[in-house]
Amino acid sequence: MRLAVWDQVSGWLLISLLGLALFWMAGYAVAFSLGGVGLISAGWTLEHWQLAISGSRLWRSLLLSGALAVCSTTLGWLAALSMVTGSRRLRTDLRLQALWCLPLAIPPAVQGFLGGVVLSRGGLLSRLCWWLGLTDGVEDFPVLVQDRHGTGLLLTMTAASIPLLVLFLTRTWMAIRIDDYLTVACSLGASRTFALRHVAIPMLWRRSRFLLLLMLLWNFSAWELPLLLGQQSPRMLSVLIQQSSGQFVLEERPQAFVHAVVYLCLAGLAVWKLSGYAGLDRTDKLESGDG
Amino acid sequence: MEVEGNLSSGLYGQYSRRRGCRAAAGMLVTFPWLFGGCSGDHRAAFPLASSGQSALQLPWPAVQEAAAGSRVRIAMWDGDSAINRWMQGWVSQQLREKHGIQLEFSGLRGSELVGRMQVERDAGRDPGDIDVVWINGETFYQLRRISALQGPFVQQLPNAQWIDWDDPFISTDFQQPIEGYECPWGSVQFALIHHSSRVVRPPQTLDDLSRWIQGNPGRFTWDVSFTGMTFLKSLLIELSGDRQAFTRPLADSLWKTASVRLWDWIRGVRPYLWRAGQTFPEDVSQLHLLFNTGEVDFTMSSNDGEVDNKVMQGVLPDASKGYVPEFGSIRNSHYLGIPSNAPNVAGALFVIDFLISPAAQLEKAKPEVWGDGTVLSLQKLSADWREKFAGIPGRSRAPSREELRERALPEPAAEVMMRLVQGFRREIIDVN
Repeated sequence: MRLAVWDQVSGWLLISLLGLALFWMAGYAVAFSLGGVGLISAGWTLEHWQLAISGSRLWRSLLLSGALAVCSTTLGWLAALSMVTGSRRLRTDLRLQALWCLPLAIPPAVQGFLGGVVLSRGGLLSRLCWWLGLTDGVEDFPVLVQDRHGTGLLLTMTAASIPLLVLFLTRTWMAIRIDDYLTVACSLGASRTFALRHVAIPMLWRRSRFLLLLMLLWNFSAWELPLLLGQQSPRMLSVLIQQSSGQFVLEERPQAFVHAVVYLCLAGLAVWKLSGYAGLDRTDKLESGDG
Repeated sequence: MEVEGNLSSGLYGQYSRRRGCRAAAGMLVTFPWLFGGCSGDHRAAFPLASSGQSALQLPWPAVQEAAAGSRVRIAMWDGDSAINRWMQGWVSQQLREKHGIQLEFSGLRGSELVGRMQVERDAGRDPGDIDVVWINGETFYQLRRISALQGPFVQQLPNAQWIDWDDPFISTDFQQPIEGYECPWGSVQFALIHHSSRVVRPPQTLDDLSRWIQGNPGRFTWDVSFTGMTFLKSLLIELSGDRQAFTRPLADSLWKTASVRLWDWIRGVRPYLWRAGQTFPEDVSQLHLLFNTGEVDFTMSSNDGEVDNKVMQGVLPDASKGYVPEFGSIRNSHYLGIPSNAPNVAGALFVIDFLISPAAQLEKAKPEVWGDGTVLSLQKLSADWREKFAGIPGRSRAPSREELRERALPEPAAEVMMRLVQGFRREIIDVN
């Protein structure tokens, strides 16, 4: 009984503290974006919102961030899924799995640096192409870093997503004994491919959704990789916010808070909408008798 | 997944909609208290610079006494390894061994510093944790706007008597009188650096430069940071048709005319720039790298002495030569200031005085150390010091400072830099 009360109190305390912190930050950002606070504030105004919303920078940035987040998360998941379903050794060899932990220890700034070392025109890939006789020099190698299509950024973000997904899918595969389900399916006459497509992949997908949602948000708000490998315009949202808040023109600083508020709203909305899709509200539905 | 489920039922499940509404209402009640930290009343309750103002009135021996054995933290741009090495080596060692002062470093660029000081001022944080800041014109302008610098303090420094106050490139910073709120530390002039074996006759006029860029596609660019913007300022002055135009208070009509010409000039050469002008190096160190790897034939520096220094370090190739084209280049100074919430003002005063001493200025001016121009007037120094300054090994890759000075352009007001940064982003970078 005492434990249950403490459980409830601690839960409430945690939610209240988190809510308070979020409310404080969001409130300050809104107040700053409306000119209500700040050392050089000239009073409450909608001017900063009008300026930020009427230009194309914010929208292009949002579009780019969303597109890169969706593409890198999807490609990362597909690549990890192919590896996990395609290699039995990867699923069973613990040493091989331990190797996948190593990339997780690399900070994003180093990942960005390595991405540049590999993909830039003077980088390793370009040298390999020249050595193989595929190119005659630096000029023949395509621009993959800070390029208009975000190719290098997408490749690096995807590569950075894969290790965690591989580990998660591998552990999930073993934990819910997918091999047993596949054996049953095959003994009932299904081919291996059919069993993978209709049994293993749906089971993995259902259990990956929450992680994918987190990864989507993580990639959406990526900072170091787009800063190092992304193009100058449009910038991904985090870089745009940092740039507009870190420049000399103090009058433009409220616009950085406009961008931050828009980001907070979108991220909150995404969590709210997608958490239902990812199965987070299952407990609520069960409790209220909907499910 | 089990863990996930437990978390969901333990926290999320308990947080029903009705309870959530009650919590939100509770937070709304606390709203005024929460935002009290941002209000003017709160700021008034924590007056800034209280600890510092008294040190500014102390006689110098008392400053020395208070500074001895203390810790002084300096915020500076840390993007140049030679400068870092000198500051963390020779300067730190001298201060530690001779005066017992422990110098600590914090890597902050001008815009980051302004952001940080704004937040600290806003929050009423006093004391802060930075004692000395290395700044230039636009940072000085913004820090003065938010009253984040304390002073006047320069007249208190014994070594300030040697400063060449008659030189307008030293006594005014981006057209602003320094009024004792920052102390000159170094004086430099922008220079273009070319690869002398690939570019035998570097372009001298703006038309020459346009022709060269168009005739050598992909071999020229500039960075989007301080050095690149300084280069664009010299073009802006040239395109305005009046070299003194930007020394007067900035008129909108002047800005409009000159900036339109500048954007047109850039659009004209853009397809022939490095990567067809679709992207620009983020800062000058990236441009140096492109120059060193042979991707471009020009780099640039805000410091005319940097070419010798960088060749000695191996950052730039041997064939690098610095020059100032006929249309001129910006000459300016960089300064040291004391934040309004500096915790150790006496230590800051002492360190600044040390950094403008003839010994430190001499060391800094050596090409192998930094190659930074002195702010001291050699005429005011003793014959012994004059001899030492004259004995600094000559520059082999750039004309003398006296020669360059003939093509020196004064820094426009800080507002020009801000409009330039905004305009370049709006008119060029965002349009691709």
